[in-house]
Formats: sequence, structure tokens, C-alpha cells
Amino acid sequence: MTAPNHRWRNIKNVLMQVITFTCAILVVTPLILVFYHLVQLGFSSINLAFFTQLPKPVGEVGGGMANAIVGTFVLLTQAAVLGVPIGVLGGVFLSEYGTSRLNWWIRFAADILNGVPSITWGIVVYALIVMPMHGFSALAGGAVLGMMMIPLVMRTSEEVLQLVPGGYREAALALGIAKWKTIVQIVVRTALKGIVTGVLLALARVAGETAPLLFTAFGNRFWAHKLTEPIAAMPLQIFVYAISPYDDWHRQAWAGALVLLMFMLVINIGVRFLTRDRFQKKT
Amino acid sequence: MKRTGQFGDRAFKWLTLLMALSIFVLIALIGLELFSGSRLALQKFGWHFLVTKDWDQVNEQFGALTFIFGTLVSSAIALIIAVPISIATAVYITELAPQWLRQPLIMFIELLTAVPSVILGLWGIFVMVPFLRSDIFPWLQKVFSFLPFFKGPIYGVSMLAGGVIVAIMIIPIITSVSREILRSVPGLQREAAYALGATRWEVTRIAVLSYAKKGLFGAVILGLGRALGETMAVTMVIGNTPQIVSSLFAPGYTLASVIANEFTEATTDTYLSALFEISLVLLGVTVVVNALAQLLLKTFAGPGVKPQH
Amino acid sequence: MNPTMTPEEEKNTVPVRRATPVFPIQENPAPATGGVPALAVKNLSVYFGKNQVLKNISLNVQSCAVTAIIGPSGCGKSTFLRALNRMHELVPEAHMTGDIRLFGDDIYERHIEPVIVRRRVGMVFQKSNPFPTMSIAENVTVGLRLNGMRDKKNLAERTEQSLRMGALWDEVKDRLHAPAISLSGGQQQRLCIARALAVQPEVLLMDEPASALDPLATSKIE
Repeated sequence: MTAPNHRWRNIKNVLMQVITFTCAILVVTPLILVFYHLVQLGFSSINLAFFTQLPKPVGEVGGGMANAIVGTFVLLTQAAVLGVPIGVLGGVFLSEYGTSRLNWWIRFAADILNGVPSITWGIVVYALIVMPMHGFSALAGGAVLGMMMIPLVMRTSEEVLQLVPGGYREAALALGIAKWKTIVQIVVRTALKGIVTGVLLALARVAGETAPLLFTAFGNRFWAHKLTEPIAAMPLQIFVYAISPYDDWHRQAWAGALVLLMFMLVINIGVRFLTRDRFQKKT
Repeated sequence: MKRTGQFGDRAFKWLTLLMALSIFVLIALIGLELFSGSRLALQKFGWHFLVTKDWDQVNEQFGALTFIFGTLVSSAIALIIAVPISIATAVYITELAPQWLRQPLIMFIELLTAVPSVILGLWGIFVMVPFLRSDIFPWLQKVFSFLPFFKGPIYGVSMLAGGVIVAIMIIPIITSVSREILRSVPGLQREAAYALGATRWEVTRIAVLSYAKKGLFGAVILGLGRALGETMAVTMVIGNTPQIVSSLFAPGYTLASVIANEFTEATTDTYLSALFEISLVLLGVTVVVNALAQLLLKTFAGPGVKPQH
Repeated sequence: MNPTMTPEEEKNTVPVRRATPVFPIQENPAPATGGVPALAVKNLSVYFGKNQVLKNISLNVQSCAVTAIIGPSGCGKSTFLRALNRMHELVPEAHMTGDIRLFGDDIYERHIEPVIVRRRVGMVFQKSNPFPTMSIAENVTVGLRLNGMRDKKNLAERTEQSLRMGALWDEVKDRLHAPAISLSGGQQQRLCIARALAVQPEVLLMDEPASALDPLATSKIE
């Protein structure tokens, strides 16, 4: 004889599956919708002109985002130069050296830094670099993005380095190899793929940031000829176009957004696809 | 030979230590610059700053209350929408979904975390807000007209729109972290429940959700931290009007938005300093919330939980 | 190991409603006289993916008796036990062939829910796993409450009964609402035994319950 509430239990079981499934659909829907609208409204505007031309003067139709695309790459390069060495080496310290107490505090602080709003970073670098320089610049933009990358890269590098089996280190040390050489040539090399993954993901993450660039790189309708000049960047351009009253700028904002999103998705998907072979993580 | 090895070891160790300590340098820089930038406003307004509604550029009277209100309300709306949906989704993925569906869902959600705020904001202005204005808000006003929140003229850009878009931004991260938390519940707990003759949902309820309560709470707080600092998407749909009203359909203004909009246009030193102080308030709130989230997450599960950003 | 408890017991009667039995759960199972074995296993083979772990096992387990399965580690004792209460269904790569009957009822029959099978066949695991967010009393009664038992008096009676059978009553009777994890390892395992017994299963499977415990605790369980 089954318990009297058995049917109700089964109903509840199915009900909860339906409810949670619906929520999963709700979560996934915005991405699909955003992508759909980006393609619908932006795809037609993606042409050669978009990639090669500068923005046209206000009111004129046409032009492109060439300077913003190049600008984003310039900023990312600077960010990498600042963020990668500090981040990776810091991650090495957390993984290979240090006391558990000090490392706990460093990790805690890094995680807090990862939660600082991006606009706050922008203000800090404004005070730090833009004000003394009396002007917005690509340098400031690269600096802020680089600073944002440091705690990100540090934590992901540490994680990946921790995964390298202790046996490798011991074997190398037992052979009489100096500790620093062990770390650099064996441990880091083993973890290299994971470290690169972390760096790429961090770069993709800061590539989409707009707020910190508002008061550092500031944006530019033309080419920036020196790093000490303000520079255009894709997210900035998209923002400016989006809130403007001009339809043609709106159209270009959609195109820019599509290109930017594709860039981010390609990196995110590509990176995850590549690391699938190495680290067979099961859910 | 041994000497160079030792030197190399020491040098490398100090190098990496220095790099790691950059974290504290960054923190110090942030604090330093924000405090020195706000000094003027701190001197002029003192504690009053936090409780004044004024935002008067002409007479140079500034107060953060409006924006604190805006940030809190939009974040609250975002949490109310996001938390049930996120945790339910995390439960579905970890416990109830068929095996073949899990990985695709997980990947989808990780991709969602990568969508930049400005792109979502763009979509928000041109797609979401018109839809809310023409379909959802009027319906809400009709059905819930007895509540003060849903009275008042409908513009589209509004506190509610801001809350919704922040919800969309924080759902992926709450879902991701919750998923990790649920995954870390020992299988032995689930088996104990199954062995007693529990249905799948009952196993989830008894063995998984109760066990994971603390961690899930941490995930929620982490989401709150993200919501508080969300800038671009909110700025694009919230209306950017400094006011405190009861209607959710009215435009609002958050701490992050006012900085984004007015920083480069601040004409006087006091104005700029006031914005610095707003930034300080925002930083204070987000740091406290994030610290709380990190502590909750760290003390719940040991090395099994990934750091989340 | 030789637990002195018997898998089936005469219990205090709890009034129940009898619906048309398709796969009857006995509320107070009386020992079957002669004939039908408690468990009849025929040609059981269990595979994990391509790997065959159990090869053609056939055996009968008599009711009102203790059957011990002894063997070298890794020979498949746990796998065998878990086939008896359909725990393998939680693992996607596992599948099995063969016939298992509980008092004559085929437990793997298509429309029989595992939930019901597991109610009739209880299990205690190698490592104790009480629910940490529940108190001692709540742990014991969780199975009963899932099945709809609400009456506080009944629940209390069964709690005492089960804890006595688990040789734990005297040690916890004055702190039934303390959290379950406040108990020692040996006590926790006895709590798990009490929890499994509370739903009055017809068969109780015990997978080396004392293997993780010290000799003193083990002797208490025995």
C-alpha cells in the first residue's frame, strides 16, 4: 500500500521540475533576444566602410568605427602589458610561496578588488593620471584596464598553478634544480595553457568595459596619433551613439555592438573549447 | 653554482612577492585618491552629505540621498527578480535536468556573464524599454493600481526598467556561483535521502538546499554587490532624474549613474569633489557587501568553490 | 560483522489505510512463514559502461534472518547491495540484467517507482551521513514525514522506538533537538541506522556501517 500522500509527492516532483525548467528558460532568453536583435538591427550595417572609415561629422550618414576598433586593441595591448606580468607573477607567489596567513589576506583583497565597480576604477585613474597630465589619454585608458586585470589574472593564474601536481615540483627539486627554475620552466610551463586561458578571458572581460574609459580614454572622433591623446574605443563609441538623438548613429551602435559581442563570444567559446581537451571537468 | 641558484631563488621570490603585494598597493591607491578627491566635499558637507536630497549645481549644494535611494531601490528590484530565478535555474541544472541538457545550459550561462553592460544597455533602450512602456507597465498599472509603486505617468525609462536590466545582468553570476555551491554538496547526502525513498525534488529540498543554505546566501550577496556597482546598462534605461518618489514608473538616478553622466561636466571644484564623495560612498557600500559575500562563500565550502568576479 | 538486530521486526501497530496493492508496502511486516524468500536474486549482472562488475549472481535471502556477505575488497559487495534498492539508477553509466524479487514482487518492473522500492528496502551507508541542518529527532523522522505522517505523538513514539533499536536512545533522549552533527562518529552512524529503521523497511541493507569507526563504537553497533 502506498502512503496516502504519494500522488501529491509525485505531483510536487513534476511541478518543481517544470518550475525550475521555466526559470532556466527565462535565464537563457535575454541572451537569445539580445543576439537576435543585434543581428537583426546591426548586421546590415557591417560592411567594409564600417571597419575602415572614421566616423563622419554629426548629421552625415555613413562612416565607420575604424578608430574605435583600433583603439580597443591599443588599449588592450597596454592593459596586457601592465596586467599580465603583475598578475601572473603574483599568482605564482600565491601558489608557490608565502605563508597561508599572508596569502589568505592577499586572496581576500584580490577578491574584493574584483568586486570594485568599474566606474570607481575610472575615477581613481582620473585622479592618478588624467589630472596630473591635464588631459585624457590612451595611456590612462590602458592603465585602468590593466589595473582591473591584475586581480583577475592573479586569481585565475593561482588556481591553474595549484592544479599542477606536487609531484612535478618534488621531482625537479630532487634533481637539484633551483626552485625558481622549477617554477618557471616546469610548473608554469605545465600550467601555461590554463594561464593563457585566464589571460584571454580577462582581456575579453575588460574589452567590454565602458565606465572606466569614460574619464580616462574619453573617446576620440579621429585617430589618436600619440598615446597621450584621448583615444576611441568600441564600448565608448557604442555608448555615445546609443544615447545620441541620431538614427544613423543608432544604426552604427547596433553594428558596433554586434562586432563587439562577436569578439567576446569568439574568445569565450574558443577558449573554453580549447581547454576542454586538457581538463576534462565533469559537472 | 649554488650561490647563483640561491640568488636566483631569492630574487624570484621577492619579485613575485612584490607583484602579489600590488594588490594592497591598488587598494591603497583607490582609497587615497577617493579620499583626497572628496576632501573638499567632506569638509563642506560632512555627514549631511548622506542625508541631503539637494543636487544643486548652481548653489553648490550637494547630497547623496537621492542616489543612495536609487541604487538601493534598483538593486532591491533586481534581487527580487533575480534571486528566485537564479537559484531555481541552478537547482534545475545541478539536480533536475537531464544529463544531455546540462553542459549546454552551463555554457550558455557562462556566455551570459560575458555580455558587456553597454550592449545590454543598448538593447535595453531600444527594445526592452519600449516593450515595457507599451505592454508591461500599463498592465502592471491596471492590475496593481492599489499599490503606490505602480501609480503615476509611464515614460518607459524608469526605476523599474533599471531594476529589470540589473536583474538580467546579475542573474548569470548568481546562477553560476549557486551552481558551484550545489555541486559541492556531498553525494553521500543525496544518497541518504534517496535511500529513504525520497523523490528527486525531495532529495533536492532535504539533502541539497538545506545543506547549501549558507553558500547560496553568499551567492545572493555577491549578486547584490554586482548590482550595486552596475553602471552602464542602468544609466541607459533608468532616466537619470534625481528625485525620490514612490512610483516605480518614474525615472530615477543611481550613485554609479550620476558619476557616469556628470563627472566630465563638473564645472566647479565642489561639484567634482561631491562626485568623488559619491564614488566613495559607492565604494564603501560595495566593498562591505562584497567582503560579506566572500566570507560567506569561503566559510561554506573549502577549496571546491571557484573565486568569482 | 554480526548485527544483532533482525531486518524485520514485529512493531507496534500504526493504523493505516489499505489501498489496492500494486506493490504493497507493509506497514507492520510480519515474518513470512516458509516459502517466499525476502529477496530472490537471479542471474544478476551489473555493468558500469562496458565494465562488468557483477557476473551472474543468484542467491536467496531469507526473511527474519541476518545474511552477511563477505569478500575481499573490490569484489563488488557494495555494488550488489546497491542493486537491491535500485541505487544504481542514480548513476547514468550503470545498467543491469537479471531478476530481483522482494517477497515475490519484481522490484525492477517497469511501472514500479524506485521511491517505493527504497521505502521497503532501507540502507545504511559505510560513512555516516546524517542531515546536518536537522536535529537528531528530525533526522529520525524525516522518512516518516516525507510519507505524510504528521501526528506529533506518533512521530515521537517512532523516534523513541527507532533510537532504542539503534542503541542510541539512552545517550540522546534528553537532547533530541540538538543538531545531528553534534554527535560523535559512532553515534552518528547509529542515528543513521535509527533513521533507516524508522520507516520500517522489510529489508535493511547495511554496507559495512562500522568500517569507518573505532572498535568501541563498532561494538556498540554490533
